Amino acid sequence: MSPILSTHGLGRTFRTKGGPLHALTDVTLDCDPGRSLGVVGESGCGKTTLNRLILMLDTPTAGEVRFKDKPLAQLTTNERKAYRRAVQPVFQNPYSSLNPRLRVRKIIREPLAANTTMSRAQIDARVDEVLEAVGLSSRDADRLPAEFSGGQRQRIAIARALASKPELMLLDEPVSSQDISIRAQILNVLKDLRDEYGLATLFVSHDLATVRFMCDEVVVIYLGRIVERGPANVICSAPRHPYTQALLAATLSADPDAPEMATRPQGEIPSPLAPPSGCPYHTRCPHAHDLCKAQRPQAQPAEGGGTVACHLVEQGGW
Amino acid sequence: MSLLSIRNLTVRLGRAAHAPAILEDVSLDVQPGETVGLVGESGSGKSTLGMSVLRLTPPLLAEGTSGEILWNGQDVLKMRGKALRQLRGGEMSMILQDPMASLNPVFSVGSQLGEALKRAGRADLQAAAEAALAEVNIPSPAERLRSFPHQLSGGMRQRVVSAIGLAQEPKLIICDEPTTALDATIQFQFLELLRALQKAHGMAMLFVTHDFGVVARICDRVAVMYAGRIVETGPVREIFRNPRHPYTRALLAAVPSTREAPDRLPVIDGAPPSVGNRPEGCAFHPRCPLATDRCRTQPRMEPQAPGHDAACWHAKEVAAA
Repeated sequence: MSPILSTHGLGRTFRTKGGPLHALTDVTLDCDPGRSLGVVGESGCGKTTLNRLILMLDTPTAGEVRFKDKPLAQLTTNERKAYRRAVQPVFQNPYSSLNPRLRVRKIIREPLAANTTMSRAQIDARVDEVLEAVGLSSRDADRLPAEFSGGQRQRIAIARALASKPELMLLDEPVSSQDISIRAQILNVLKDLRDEYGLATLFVSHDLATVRFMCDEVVVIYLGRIVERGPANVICSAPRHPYTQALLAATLSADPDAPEMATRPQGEIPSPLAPPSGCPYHTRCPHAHDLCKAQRPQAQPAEGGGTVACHLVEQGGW
Repeated sequence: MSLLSIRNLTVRLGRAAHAPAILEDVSLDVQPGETVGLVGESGSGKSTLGMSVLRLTPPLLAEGTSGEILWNGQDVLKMRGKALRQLRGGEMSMILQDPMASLNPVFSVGSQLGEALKRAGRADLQAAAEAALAEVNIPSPAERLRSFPHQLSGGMRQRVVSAIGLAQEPKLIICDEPTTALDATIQFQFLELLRALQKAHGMAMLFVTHDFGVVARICDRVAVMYAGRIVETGPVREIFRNPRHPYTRALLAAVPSTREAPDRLPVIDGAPPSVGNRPEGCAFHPRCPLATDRCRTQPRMEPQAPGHDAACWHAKEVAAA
């Protein structure tokens, strides 16, 4: 089956006073129906740029995004409408992503009215349906966002995304601003919806534990480049790239007797305006040697599945 | 004697006896050199507790505060003017979540750090400031002293804040979610630094957080808060291994782990009550699977094991489950 959405050598360079800023470089990934792809990285790694490029809020300076094998730049007006309907975002902060002056019904119906040919009655029925799908009730449709808690607001945002029967949901840190007990509720809802509707999801997160729960496959981005990709269980329990290992060590488990990880995080995240030569991670890598400073490692197939871009893994370990 | 002893602290929204309470009847002790975690969801009152200890709550809450906060046997709630100023940033200091809000954007790092060191009575300010930055792992400290807060990364700003907080060799440092705004790897490094500093200076820490991973990593003891009360407290290992309060147990179960991917996460239905709408008796009872009629009256903190207390009528059932 062909992917719903794919990126091919995707790159975005911003021109700034301080010189070119390579926000995203050579990112290739596929979102297949019913599958969940995780994108993991820290601030400044290019997660937000990737989202903006996929949502057509920005245009790439290299490579392209394809919708069902057709580059976004070549979509006809109708195809573009179909794309906007098929790819729906849910953002991190439900306090800023919902218009405080609109009632929930209006919030959910707007994208439907704009993007579909549904009648008023059909739209109203759909609003009730999606509210129930996310665990709210049709009575909530006549209330304002301010009447809901953070967790309920995020459910409304999910209902809005779900309303146009999307094929891909773009989840940008959807639970980072939520409390633990609410976080688990939202994650369960998202997982149920994915299974029920066969949705593809692109789940952007900085937390390996959430990614392990939500995703089938994971790509790890560092300073705009994919450094490792593979099945979620491998990336989140036995990663091969030193950066992913450091991320795993930094994911503090709720267990006072958790074993210490061998590779611990060190150093500062470099500025994307002055990225290091060679391997972008060499300034923080405990195993770096001369080759890492001189030459950028290419992604190579790795044991356990997926690929790793690291000279040392390539040479059989350190 | 405890370094800090909070006794029956209640903080209401104003002076009136029936005003809604943010904190109710909270008692907690901190021993010299230990790290106590204060964990709970938003609105549980954990930050208000941290702020109350330094008397930093807004006037409305300050009026509604009753109980005792004993510091070396003296009641912080009865201190005035000079004594209070000497306490804040002196024997007790604080690190807040957002370092950009703690630092003054128009003064250099050197001048803000210098101010604290001067209060500590240090003679050679330049050398002392450089040493203080070096201690918190800031590279090329002499140069950084001339930087302004906006020129530093989030992790570095937070380290500057800790250097300022440590300037007067406090005996207790209150940390209110100091790593929440930091990236995972930077959070890890900052926690390591805090642990090292704590050991080197022999300070106690009161660590406010919502993250059980952070608690497991750095705390000796932990107090779990729900709707303005401490519902369970004990040594970290004991709380994680044998939680006796259904809320603690459910929260711990709801945290995803990198080690396994279950089909569903166990959830707690509903949401925490807002300050004005707290249920009678045990505030957790509407969300609790074990709740009975008895739970409509407030349970007292009862010992479960040495140093481990929980406020639940059904604690024995939780232990058996």
